[in-house]
Amino acid sequence: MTHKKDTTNKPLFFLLLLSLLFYGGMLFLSAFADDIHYARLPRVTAETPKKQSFSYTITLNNGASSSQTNLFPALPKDMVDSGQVFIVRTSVQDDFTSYYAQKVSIVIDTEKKNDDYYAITDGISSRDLVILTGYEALSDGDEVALLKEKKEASKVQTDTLFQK
Amino acid sequence: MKHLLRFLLYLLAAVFFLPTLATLLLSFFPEGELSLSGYDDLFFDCFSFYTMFWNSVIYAYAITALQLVVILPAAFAFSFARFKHKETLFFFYIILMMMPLQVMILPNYIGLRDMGILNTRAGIILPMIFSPFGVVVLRQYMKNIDASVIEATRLETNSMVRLLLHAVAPQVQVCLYAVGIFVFAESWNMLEQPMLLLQDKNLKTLTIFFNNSTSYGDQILYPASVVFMIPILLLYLFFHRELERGLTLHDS
Repeated sequence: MTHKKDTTNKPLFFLLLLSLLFYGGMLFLSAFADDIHYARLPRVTAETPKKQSFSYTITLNNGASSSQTNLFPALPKDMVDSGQVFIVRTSVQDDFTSYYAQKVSIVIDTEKKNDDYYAITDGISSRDLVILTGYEALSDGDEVALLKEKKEASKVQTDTLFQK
Repeated sequence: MKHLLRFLLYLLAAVFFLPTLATLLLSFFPEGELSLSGYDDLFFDCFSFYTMFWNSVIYAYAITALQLVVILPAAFAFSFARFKHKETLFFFYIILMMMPLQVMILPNYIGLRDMGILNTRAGIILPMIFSPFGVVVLRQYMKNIDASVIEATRLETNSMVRLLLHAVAPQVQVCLYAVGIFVFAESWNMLEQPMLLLQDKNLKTLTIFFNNSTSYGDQILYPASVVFMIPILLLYLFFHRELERGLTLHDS
């Protein structure tokens, strides 16, 4: 007496499995694609340029020079020297808000500087969000995950990352 | 001669298959090199795709299921019920089937607007349920079924639902599958209805996604096309035997 394996339901089983994988996969991606997307983005912090106090010398009309101290918008020296100055641009498409890094050319006043900062005279406005951390590996147009406050960059809070 | 005919048939099949193959291949070569970046961009950058995908799934499955529920009693009535002007009514039904969609869409629009279901899921599903195509096909198929089974069941029950479910449906099962696949394909591919009847982008379908292709680019569109093909391909693989048998109209 020979026993034959019943193979008639095999294709149906594989098709069911395939369907389950497809729809299950789509369901999984629908639920988590945005989280995965944001988790893979470079994390940056951005703030409007802060004003720093700079001491500088001016020449008066009578030829005498005078030392003055004033507040000017400033950026960190490391950032300016590396040439990696980015501001944040916002894009809203299909109800999703995305943040992009836009590289900018700035003009600095070499006389107005201190140990850590250069005074900025042109290239960014006081309302621009300048990327202060995480700019090292960025390229112009890269999408970024914007952490709201600078202090969060060091401890990388996932919850903050996923706020869109 | 036989070999030549076979060669020509293979050639014809290849011609029809070529666009599908090209789409599949191009989805893996987004920038001329083998890469999954197109799928990566689609799945992790294009979130509106999911909304539209699930909308298409909801519309297609709901329309198919509900239309099958409607066409079975309708076709049964046209086949076995005796009422005045049955043939005339069926003649108009066929004429309705011949009408291009573009002619019917304006009356549909006005009707849905007056019912207050424009720009809703029901506004898409409802008109599609009563498509005459399935009724006409099923009615033709019912001409070949065993009427004695129906008569025997009538002796046992007065319930029309039981009669349809126990005596008619099993005999036309193959045709129902075939019609179901056609209805699913039609619903899955519908473009004009969501374009004209829906304004809310959260209700729109995948076909609208392709219609707005300029804002996405080839990198996303080819992988999206591949995903778009899968549900209908799966359904065909499930029911292809029934489809082939159902289309012959003389299945024993």
